[in-house]
Amino acid sequence: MASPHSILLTPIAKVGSKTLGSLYHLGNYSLLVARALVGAVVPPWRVRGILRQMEMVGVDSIFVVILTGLFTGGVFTLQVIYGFRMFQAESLVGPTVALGMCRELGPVLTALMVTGRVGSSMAAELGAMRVTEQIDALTVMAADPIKYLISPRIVAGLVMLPLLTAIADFTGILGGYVVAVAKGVDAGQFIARIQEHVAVMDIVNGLIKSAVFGVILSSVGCYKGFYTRGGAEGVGRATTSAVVISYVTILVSDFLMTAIMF
Amino acid sequence: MSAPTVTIKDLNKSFGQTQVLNGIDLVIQAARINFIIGQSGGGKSVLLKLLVGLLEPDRGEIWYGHQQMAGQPLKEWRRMRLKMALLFQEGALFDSMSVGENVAFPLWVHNRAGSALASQIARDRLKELELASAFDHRPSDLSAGERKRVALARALIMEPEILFFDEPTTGLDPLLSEQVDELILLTLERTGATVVVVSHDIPATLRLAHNVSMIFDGRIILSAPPDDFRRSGNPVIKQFLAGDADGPMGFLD
Repeated sequence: MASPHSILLTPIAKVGSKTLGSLYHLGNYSLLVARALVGAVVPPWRVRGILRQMEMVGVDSIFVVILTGLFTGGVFTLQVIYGFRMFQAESLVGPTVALGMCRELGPVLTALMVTGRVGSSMAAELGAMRVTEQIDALTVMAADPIKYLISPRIVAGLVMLPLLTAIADFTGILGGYVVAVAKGVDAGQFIARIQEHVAVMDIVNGLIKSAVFGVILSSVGCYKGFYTRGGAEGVGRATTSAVVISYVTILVSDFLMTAIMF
Repeated sequence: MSAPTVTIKDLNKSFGQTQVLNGIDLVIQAARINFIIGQSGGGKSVLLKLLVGLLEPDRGEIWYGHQQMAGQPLKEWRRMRLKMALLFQEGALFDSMSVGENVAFPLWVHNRAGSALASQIARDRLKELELASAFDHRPSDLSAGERKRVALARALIMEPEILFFDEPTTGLDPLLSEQVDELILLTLERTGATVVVVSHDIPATLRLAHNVSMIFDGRIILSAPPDDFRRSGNPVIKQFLAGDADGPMGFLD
């Protein structure tokens, strides 16, 4: 029978163990990101590798981002029109949708969609390389696996997320415009109010957020894949874990950045 | 450094509570084929990973010629690794590249040749191993034996002074195993490198090796030419050579 001593201490020990484990991973992750960023800046630059990753992160995600933007803008407008009609404030639908897309929905939803698509694929690809010893092969060949594999992916996330977000913002506003006009909002008013109320910094801050999200989703996916253990099952766990951790980190960092920026 | 002698002194490695290597002392002879054998899970692959710096020992020394490498920083290991190559058990070819790109990769990543020249050298290497037609294929299109040959071409392209093989014939049929054995001989013939083969293929060991070292219980129990191995009265060695389930090596150890 467990002693009162161990009944009391075991949960505390478990919490302590989890905390230490999390701190270890946070430290390891920070070192990996630092090494990858240094690897991205210090020559030689593997431009072809970077471009390939940018194509995977950016170009291959355009369609899903357009759809996300369009329907998010549309549904947001539907909800907003309903509320604003109660106060005869329909003329403010345009800027509300635009501000919502540029400051918040565009960056966050784009990041979440791309995480599901690209972050998981980065974790899976690097995880598969790890369990088939391809990363060890790079190391034994005196190549730097972090510079070769991770730096291009983080650069791709950093550069392409703001571009994708800009596309999401535009298509979101477009989707909102179509729905608003279909619901009887004056088209000219819709555009004119946006120009009155949406500042350049609203767009820029949203793009800055998206750059941060790009680094988060790519670095977390790479970290989880790079340190995969345990064969195919490990790869599966790494992929799921990469997506969940990225989602949570993006949402938390969004809150913090919004509090600072706006 | 021409083909080096590798000297291992009191090498120890544990994982948690499990002591895998318990004071390995071994001399790997320069420009010779050295086999390291032992039962599965006995620490052969761990020893190999220590020798190429993928793991760090708890204690001990690894001398490559006059240079001690155990515990050295990454920068030193990178310099040493330019002189060595490792043929992984499954080849560890890069799935995202073609066969030609795989073979040319070491030249390209170390800026030893531009893309065109690296490709040409890779093509020549593959031709020597009768794989020229596989240049544009993906590794997944090849058979196990062909993947091993591609991995060997990639390993040899930087003209290493020391070449490690990790269980090269595991999982291969006798014909393919024979081919791989020939490749090991060819490697020594062509390069004069120090060759280290980690294996539990007894016929290949006794046929190819200039020196055989056996790991048991985390230690080297004998390091000798194959004939001395055959004649050894050590019950562990006799059991291993005979492939007998009964003996001092427990079946489910």
